[in-house]
Amino acid sequence: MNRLNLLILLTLLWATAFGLSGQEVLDKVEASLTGYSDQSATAEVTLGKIDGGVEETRIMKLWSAGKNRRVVKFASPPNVRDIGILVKSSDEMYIYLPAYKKVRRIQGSMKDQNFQGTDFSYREIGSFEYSDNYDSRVVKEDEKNITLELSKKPNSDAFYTRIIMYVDKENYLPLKLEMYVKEEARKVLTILQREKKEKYWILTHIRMEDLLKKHYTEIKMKDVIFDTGLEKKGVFSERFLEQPVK
Amino acid sequence: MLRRYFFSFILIIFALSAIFAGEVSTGLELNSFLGLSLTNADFIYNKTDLNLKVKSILSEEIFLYGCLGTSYTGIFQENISTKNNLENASFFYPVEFSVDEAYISIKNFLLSGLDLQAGKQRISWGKADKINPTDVLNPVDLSMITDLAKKIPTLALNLKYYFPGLEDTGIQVVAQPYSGQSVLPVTFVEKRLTDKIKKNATNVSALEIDENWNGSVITPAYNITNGLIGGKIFGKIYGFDLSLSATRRINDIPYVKEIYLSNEVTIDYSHLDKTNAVVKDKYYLLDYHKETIIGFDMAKDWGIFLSWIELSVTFPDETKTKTYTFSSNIINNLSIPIPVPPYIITTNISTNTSLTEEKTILKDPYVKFVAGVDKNFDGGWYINFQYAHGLFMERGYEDERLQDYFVLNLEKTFFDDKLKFRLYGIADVDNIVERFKDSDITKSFMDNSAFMGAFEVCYSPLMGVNLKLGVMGIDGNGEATLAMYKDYDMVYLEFSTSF
Repeated sequence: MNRLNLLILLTLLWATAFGLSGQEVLDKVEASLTGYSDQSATAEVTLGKIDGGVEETRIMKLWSAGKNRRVVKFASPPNVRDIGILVKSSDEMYIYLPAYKKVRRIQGSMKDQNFQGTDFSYREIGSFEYSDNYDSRVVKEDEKNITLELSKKPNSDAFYTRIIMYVDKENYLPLKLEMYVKEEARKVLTILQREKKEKYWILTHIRMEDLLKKHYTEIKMKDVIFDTGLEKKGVFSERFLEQPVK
Repeated sequence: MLRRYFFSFILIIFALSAIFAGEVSTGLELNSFLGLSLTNADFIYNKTDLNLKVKSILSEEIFLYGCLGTSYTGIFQENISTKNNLENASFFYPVEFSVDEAYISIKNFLLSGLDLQAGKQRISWGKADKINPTDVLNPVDLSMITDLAKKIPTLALNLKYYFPGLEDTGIQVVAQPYSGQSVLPVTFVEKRLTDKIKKNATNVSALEIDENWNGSVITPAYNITNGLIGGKIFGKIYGFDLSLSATRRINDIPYVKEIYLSNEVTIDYSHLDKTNAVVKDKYYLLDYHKETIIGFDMAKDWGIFLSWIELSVTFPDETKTKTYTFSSNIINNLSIPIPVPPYIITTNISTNTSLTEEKTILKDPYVKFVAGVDKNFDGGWYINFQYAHGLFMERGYEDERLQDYFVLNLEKTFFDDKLKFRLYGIADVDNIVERFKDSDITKSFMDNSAFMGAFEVCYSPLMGVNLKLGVMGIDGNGEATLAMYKDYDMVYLEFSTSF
């Protein structure tokens, strides 16, 4: 047995004995949700009070590619139709307000504010990306699930200091995320339904609860299409942002 | 007649959509504004706008858009001229119909990357927040003091070409067959003229002048020579959003071309300190002038705040004002000194004089600019601060000189963004550099500044449904532009939504 074989054997033994590291699990989760080069979808958004009824229902269109490139536009109701945001990178965001016929750059710190009255922040809407901002470790593992604790990296500008993520071991899809600022639980994201379409997994029904405001937002995804070359089509541009929603 | 046009237009829009089998979306937008004067309890504004917005998406790259407006202005007519008006609903409840916007938009028109938008449209330039010296393609609507950034859509051919391989970088060319004219409260022109006469009335112990003027306006000839042409190059470099523009147009705000004054001056030679002047008749003639505007703007997110700079250099065509003054002089107690022996002959005589003065008011270029920052904080706080040199109606000459503005907007939201408190203030200083040169700086500032402050509470039970209650106060001295709005202290209520 040469040295290389020994190294491989030791690595396998270590992985078998201790399982995947937190970072490896997080990488797998992100890979399972962002394996495609781009995605477009229609989403039905429902807003409501946790201890009350439904307040409002909207239709959104989403386009995303990679970790940061996103366009989100409202299709209904009429009072928000064609309002949209464009995220070009983590520090370059634009908003289009049809009433002003103008694309306006918005400040980066807005990314942690609620997106147009929903319980998702601008950073969270249409995105599932944590590894750039968080260190991950496994805190619990059983036959079905892995529990990760994500801790904010020292130089990160992420809003939450800690996130507890429950992961399904079978397909490395998230089941639930609890988000904390220091020790205070702020939001809970629950994956209510997931679906494999073509070769990719998608979270088809998710619910974000804001525990302080006792408010929730549910998003149901439909008409999801992958890998249509959105970058080449110029979707992540101000030009596209100004176009009305079809 | 207008109603017939209005409904015909709606039918045409729907018919066209049906023919092209496109997807049609419609929406009604409602805005109601009631402003009550704090000084005399008069209604300053009582306005309800209902706009029908129709959009027909004919294909991935072509859509039609139309916005038809109805506006009810419920300012009570004070003088009922005839009894028949009692039977006339439009006398008490006047409603206006308008085609606010109507255009076709074609993406990748003729070649890839070229977008065409043709029709009556709003074309918004500039990266600053609401105070945009480069936003000169549509005339300004100054009829509502709460929205001095409002612009009127105009007929235009708007071409944008995006350079291949460069994201959001390209050139834009805009051609308008006819430059639009602004909507503005003309009493401001009269107030400014009246103040100027008062200021220039030297050697007069008493001056009688009221603010009611006769006036007329020469609108530019309705032909293609009075159109607008503009171009812009825009792009991004190292995180900066930049653009450089040039526009040739007719300034949308008229200037005073001619002034006619008829005075009666009474001079008493035995009491020279009691010279009295009465301005009997006053008339002005307004006209529009052409200008070329070079604009530049820039915005950048620095991580901790967003900043922008926008400036315009205006090269006006030479523009002159003529003043015709006719005076009837009544001279009392005219003393004629005779050397020997000394005695006085007292007599009263009357003479007439006329004087014509011509003055170049616009010739040299002037620079308007604005610089601002904004930031969102945790907990629903938002702050926006801008410094501006020159507003829309200011033109860089003596009477309409560029003034300095400090604009602060502070917002705080509560209850899941449903409730918003907004504090808004503008400090207008008439030439800040000159103020610092004065010996008593504080007094100089107070005598040449105006302040506007507003506090609003906005309730939004649903996104896009807003109920606003606000109070606004304006005060100022000297020739600060904002001081002209002194009569607009008010409490206001606004409701807006769309469905």
